[in-house]
Amino acid sequence: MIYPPMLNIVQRRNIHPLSILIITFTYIFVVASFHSYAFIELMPLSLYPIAMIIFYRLPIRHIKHVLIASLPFATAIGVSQLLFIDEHILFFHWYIEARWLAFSTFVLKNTLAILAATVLFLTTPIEQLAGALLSLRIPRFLVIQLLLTYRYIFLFLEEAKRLRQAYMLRAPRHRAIKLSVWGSLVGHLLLRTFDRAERVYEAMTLRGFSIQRMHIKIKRWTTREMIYTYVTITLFIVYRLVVI
Amino acid sequence: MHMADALISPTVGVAMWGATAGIASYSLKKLNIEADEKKLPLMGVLGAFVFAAQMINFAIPGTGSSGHLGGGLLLAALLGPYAAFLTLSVVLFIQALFFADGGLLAFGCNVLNLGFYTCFIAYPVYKRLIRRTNIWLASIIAAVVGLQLGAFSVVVQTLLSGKVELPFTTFTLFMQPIHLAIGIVEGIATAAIISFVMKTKPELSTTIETPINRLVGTLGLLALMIGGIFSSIASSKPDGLEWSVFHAIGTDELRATTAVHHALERLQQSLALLPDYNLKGGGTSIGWLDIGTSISGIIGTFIVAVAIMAPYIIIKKWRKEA
Repeated sequence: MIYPPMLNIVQRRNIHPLSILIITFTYIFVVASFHSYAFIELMPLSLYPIAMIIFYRLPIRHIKHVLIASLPFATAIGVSQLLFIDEHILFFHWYIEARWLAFSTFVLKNTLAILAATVLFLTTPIEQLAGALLSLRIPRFLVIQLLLTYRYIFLFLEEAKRLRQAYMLRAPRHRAIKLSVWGSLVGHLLLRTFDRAERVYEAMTLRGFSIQRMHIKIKRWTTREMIYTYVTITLFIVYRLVVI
Repeated sequence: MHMADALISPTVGVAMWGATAGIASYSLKKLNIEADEKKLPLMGVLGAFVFAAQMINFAIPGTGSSGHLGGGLLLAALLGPYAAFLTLSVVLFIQALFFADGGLLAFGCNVLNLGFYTCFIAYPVYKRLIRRTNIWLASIIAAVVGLQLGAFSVVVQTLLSGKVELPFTTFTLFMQPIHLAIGIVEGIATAAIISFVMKTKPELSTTIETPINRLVGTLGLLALMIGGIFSSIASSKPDGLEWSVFHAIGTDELRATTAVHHALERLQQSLALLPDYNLKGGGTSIGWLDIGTSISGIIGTFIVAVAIMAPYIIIKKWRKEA
C-alpha cells in the first residue's frame, strides 16, 4: 500500500476538478474499449498522461510507486494470457505469437488507466474533488463521508504502524502478530475508533454542524475550462471512432 | 479481488456503476441519515479503521504465512448492512483513486463484488447463524459465502467483458478455492475482533434488522436454478417460428439485404452481451452442463427480473408521490 508522500505534494496549477474528472473518466472509458490486441492503437493515447505529467510537473517518484504496486496484478493476468492464447496474428507484415501481443496490450492498458487516475489525484485536492462530485449530483452525505474517511486514513495508518511496531519490538522473532493477540490488539484500535467518532461528533455538534449546512466550495466552471474539457474528450472519442 | 480497468469492457463497467448507484441510493433511503446524524462520523472513522486494520497482519497458524482483515463483514456487523455498504463504497472509491487499488471504471464491479454480497447476503447469513451457533462458525460461514459469491462475480464480469482470454472453468477453479481459503481467514479475523468487542462493549453490535422476504427469495432462487441449470439442457431444436421459416424458405434465419439492415446487424452483434444465449467467445461445458449457456440463463433471469420489477417500482413510487 502506498501512502503519505501524496500528502506533501504541492498542488501546482489550477485545473478545474470537474474538467479533470470528466476527462479522466472519458479517457479510461476509451482505453478500456479497445480490443485485446490493440497495442499500437493504444500507444498514441499514452500522450495524455505523459503530457499531464510534464506540464504539471507531477512527482515521478510517486507515480513510479503506484505503478510498481500495480505490477503484481498486471503480471498475473498478463501471464495467464501467455498460457491460454495459442495462435498467430498478423502484425503489420509479420505473423507473431498473439499471446505476447495480448500480454503487452493488457499491461499497457492497465498502466494507462492507472496513470490517468493518478494524474487526477495528483492535480486535484480532495476538497476540490468533493466540490466536483457535489456538482455532479452525488449525494451530499456520501461526499462528506468521503472527506471524513480521507481525513482519518493517514492518522489511523500511523496509529496502526505504531501498534505493529510496539508488538514487533516486544516479539522480535515474529514475522506477524499471533492470532490470539491480534483480535484484542485490533479490537482496542476499534474501540479507540469508536471513542474518536464520539468525540468527532461532539466537536461537530458544538460547531453547529449539519449535513445540509456544511460548506463545500464548488468552483465555478468557466467557459474556457468548459471548452478545454469538451475539446479534450472530443479528441479522445474521435480517435476511438476513427481507429477501430 | 479488486478488479482493474483493463479487465473489463465499458459496457460491463457502466452497467455495474448503474447497479451500484441504485443500491447506494436505496441504502441511503433506508438509512435515513438525517434522523441519525451521529452515524456520519462513525461511518467515516470506521472506513478509515478498515484501512488501518489491513496494515496489521496476523500469523495464520500452521502455514507460516500471514493474512489481514478485509473488513466488509465486520463493518456490516457493526453498522448494519446499509451503512456498511455505503462506507465500503467510499473506502473502495478512495482505494481506486488514491491508492490505484482497483480501477475507476471497474469501481461499480468492485463495490458489488466486495460490498453487495458481503452486506446484503453474507451479513443476513451471519445474523441468522449467530442465533443458533457461535460467533466463530457464523463469521467463517458468512465470510466464505460472501467471498465465494464475490469471486464468482469477478469471473462472470471478466468473461462478459471479453477483454482477456481466460477459459471459464479454469478461471472459476482458480478463483473459488483461493477465495475459500481467504474467506476462512476473513471469518476468523472478523470473529476475533467481534468477540473481543462483544466482551468489552456489548452495546456496540448493530440492532438494524435486515428485511428478507422469504417468498421473493425462494422464487428468485428457483428462477436462477431454472435459468442456470435447465437452460443448458434445454432443447436445441428450432422453436415454432424457426421451424415454420425453415419449411417456408429453406433456411432457419432470415438474412438481411439492405445496407441499413447490415449496419444494424453489426451494431446488434457488437452490443449483444449474450449472443445466441452464450458468452462471447463461446462457453465451456462440464459433462452435460453447458457453462456458457448456464451463465446466460442466470444473467437472462436477472435481466428479466429487473425488467419486470422496474415498472412496478416506478408506478408504486409515482402513486405514492401523487
